[in-house]
Amino acid sequence: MANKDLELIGITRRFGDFVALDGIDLEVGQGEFMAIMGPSGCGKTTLLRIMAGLESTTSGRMLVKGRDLASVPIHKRPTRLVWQDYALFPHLNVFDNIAFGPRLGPHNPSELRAKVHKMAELVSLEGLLDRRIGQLSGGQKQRVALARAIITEPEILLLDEPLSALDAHLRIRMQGELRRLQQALGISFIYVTHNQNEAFSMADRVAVLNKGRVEQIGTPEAIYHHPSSRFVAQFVGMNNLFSGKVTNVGAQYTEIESDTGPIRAAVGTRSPRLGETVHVVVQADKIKRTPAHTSNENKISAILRGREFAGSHNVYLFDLPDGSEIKIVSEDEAGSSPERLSGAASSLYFSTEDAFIIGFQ
Amino acid sequence: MTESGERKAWIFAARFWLGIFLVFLYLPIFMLILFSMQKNQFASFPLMGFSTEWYHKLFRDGTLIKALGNSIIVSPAAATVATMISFLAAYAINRFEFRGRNVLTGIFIMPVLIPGLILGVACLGLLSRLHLNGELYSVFLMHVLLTTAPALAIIQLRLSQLPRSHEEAAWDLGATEWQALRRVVIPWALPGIVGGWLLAFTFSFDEFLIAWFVAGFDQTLPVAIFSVLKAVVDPSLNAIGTIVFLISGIVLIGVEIFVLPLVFGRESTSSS
Amino acid sequence: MTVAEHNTTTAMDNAVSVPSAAKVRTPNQSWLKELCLAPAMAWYAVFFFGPLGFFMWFGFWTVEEYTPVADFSLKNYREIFSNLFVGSRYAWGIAQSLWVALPAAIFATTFTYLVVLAIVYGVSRRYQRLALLLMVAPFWSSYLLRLYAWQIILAREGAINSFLTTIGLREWHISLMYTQIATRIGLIHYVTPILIIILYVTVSNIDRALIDVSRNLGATRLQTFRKVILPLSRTGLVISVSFAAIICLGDFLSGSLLGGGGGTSLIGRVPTFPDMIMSEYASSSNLPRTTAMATILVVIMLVVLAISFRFMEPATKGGRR
Repeated sequence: MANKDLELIGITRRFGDFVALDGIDLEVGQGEFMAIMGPSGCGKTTLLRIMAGLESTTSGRMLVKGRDLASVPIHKRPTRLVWQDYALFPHLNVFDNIAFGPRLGPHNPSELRAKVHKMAELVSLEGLLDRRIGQLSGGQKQRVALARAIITEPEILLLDEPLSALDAHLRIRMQGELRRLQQALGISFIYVTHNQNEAFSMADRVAVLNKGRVEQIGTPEAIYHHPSSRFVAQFVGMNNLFSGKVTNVGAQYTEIESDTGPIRAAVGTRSPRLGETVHVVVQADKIKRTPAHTSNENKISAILRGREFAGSHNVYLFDLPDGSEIKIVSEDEAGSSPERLSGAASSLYFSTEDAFIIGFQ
Repeated sequence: MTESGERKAWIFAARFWLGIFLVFLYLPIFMLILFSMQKNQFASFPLMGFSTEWYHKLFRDGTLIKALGNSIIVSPAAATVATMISFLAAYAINRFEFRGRNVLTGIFIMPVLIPGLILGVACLGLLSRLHLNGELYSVFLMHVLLTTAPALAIIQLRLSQLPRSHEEAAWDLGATEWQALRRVVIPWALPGIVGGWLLAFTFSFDEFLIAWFVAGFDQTLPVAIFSVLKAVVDPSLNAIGTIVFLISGIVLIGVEIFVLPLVFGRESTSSS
Repeated sequence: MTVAEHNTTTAMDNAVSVPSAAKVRTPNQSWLKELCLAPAMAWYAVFFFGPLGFFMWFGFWTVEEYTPVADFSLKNYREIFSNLFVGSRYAWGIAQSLWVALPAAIFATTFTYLVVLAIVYGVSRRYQRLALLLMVAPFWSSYLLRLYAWQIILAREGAINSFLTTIGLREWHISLMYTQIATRIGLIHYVTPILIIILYVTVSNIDRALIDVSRNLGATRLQTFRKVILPLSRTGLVISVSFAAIICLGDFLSGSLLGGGGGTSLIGRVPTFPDMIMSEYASSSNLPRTTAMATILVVIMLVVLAISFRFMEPATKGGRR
């Protein structure tokens, strides 16, 4: 990447014996929407606060547009943070909240007025400028927080799960607005969330964090279709994991011996060694209950345990002989009633192309 | 008895008990006000008729009124200084995490727990060697010390309700610490600051022992009252008492507006 | 938003040797911390710890020709101890203080506790704040004046007795003045508003759900009180009693104005210990020795406090909060 808006090099944060962040390396390109995703406790909020300057690092460096921010205090940073609880000042109205940043230094009052109005327009808040904070809805508060941050022309906008307090419909709408806003402004957004759908729908690239480490960074498609570690495979999307020893390394496929029988997986960039223990990942919507009768099809036996109805599709749960669980996603099957399903022995089929190997963890 | 019947009985008993208690609490105050406006020289029944002569006597005589004037000077001044240093201390305690934070809070509470008697003797000892006693000024100095604790408690209570993210947001937007303090923290803390001031004022206004030990010829009101009490039966005490209760009543209204909302939570804070 | 993570001492920030410039000053390292604490601490150092320290030392001074002289002698304490049971009979004074203060504290706490229970469970939520305000209001009036008012109420020809005479009940006259019962009345009146606040906070924090569950399981109100409310109020009650006891032990105004200085009680016509101290201070010219007496009073109060901690310990140690 030629021009990087942000570079994190080896960011580590320790609290006594507890390691919250362990050598985080991250790069954000120019005007990129980067999502940082992970389960609670993975350190993503700490990372964001470090970027904002609210926390110190035990070691590591942070560069914004090539500038090392090590000695820059919070109020002089080119980053802006949007809080989860918006942190709007209750004693000021909307206009004064937005104007807060610029008013701290020398400014031209009439120019500022114009600017605030422009900001309000940008985030669809016209007409609300003289409202008090207590009179606003969640979505409106969200937008005030955004306007307040953006008016100070930051180089990077940091967002800490800003949509988590909104209801589902509003959230989806705001996702689109945020994306549009980011592209209109042309600055980088770094968006922290634990919600996979949010991350995938808005971001150019996603970084998956777990226990203070970066598990994988890539485009949403790359992460979804090719998780590189067991954690990512289980955290993102709906994936099934088999494990076993490699018995055959060939040009067309790699064969492993698992508890459910032999499985042939696609040949990936990394060739496993004979006898090595690996995971095989197969996405839930790639496993079928009817054979496709192609040459490179895998077949395993499982016992149907139940079905979950999810609107546009069904999720079927199967048990393997060794006790582990398989999930399958398929479109609605006409004519199957719940009582007849449970306990039935079934065969499941998936193509070699849809099975890929990751290192064992 | 039925369940609802039993419940009603308990509620009645509770309110009856409250009533008795209220009588106990307010009887002295009521008596004072009553006899300040009766002709009776001695506060005993039967009542001899309405009169304002004791108020006249109070103002004619002048000592008590003068002492009231002194108190009106000392107490607000002490309350103001105490509120200022309490705010700073409360801010530091609330914002920074450091070892010994709880110990420090405990230390700040201490003057309230030490009986005035002890503190009075102690102060007299030290101040007399520094030749600082015998002035109204010395009462002021000691009262700042005494009233810091209650003011600190109230302000601290209010500050603890400010989410940390507010101050952080101010810094993030470019405010220096001082600017954030001025533009975000203080506006928020204002009810607590006013409440703290009121509490401090009350403590000081009523404070007798230290004032007695430390003062000289310029007495604060409680000291003057005490002298009169020990000396002779004087009904103008009723009059000054009524005036004092009036002042207290006004302060009390302020407390109702500023302090009780903090104790009772969010119901009545408009800025939340 | 303050997560446990943020509780950090900056000593932990060991910068590994990375070629970066100075570390960022995070909010917790601001110079404002010292600046803000400084005024209060300075004031306390000069006007509180200074006098107290001096006070401790002063008790060891001696007197030569009516002026105190710096010293480290135990003379004062020896004099006091030799006067415990004879002469000035300080021991009686101490006994009187304890005899007045402890029952007053216990009575005031019980009294107030019942009031708080009445407010929390007998008054609708909307009016509780008003009720509390009414109860606490007398605190904002002058203590001295309230004592004076009690004087005129309890006096031999005071409000109560003259009222009784007027309605023809002369035989019911009370003669409480100059007894320690009168002192206790004054003390209870003084201490109640403070106790109300402490106990109200305690009782109102008792989860209503617990009471509902208890009633649901079949307990009567009295049983619920005994088994749920009372145990949960324990800490607050202990704090109240010890707080009240300490205040009462240190008070001399009630004893002086209502008890008449040498108020009668079961122990006899003996003033309270603080009263003795005050009269010593007024009459004798031996300030160091008076200070020594006051120090002894402080010790007694600390002992009372320590004893109350014993009662509190199980509640705060193992209790859930």
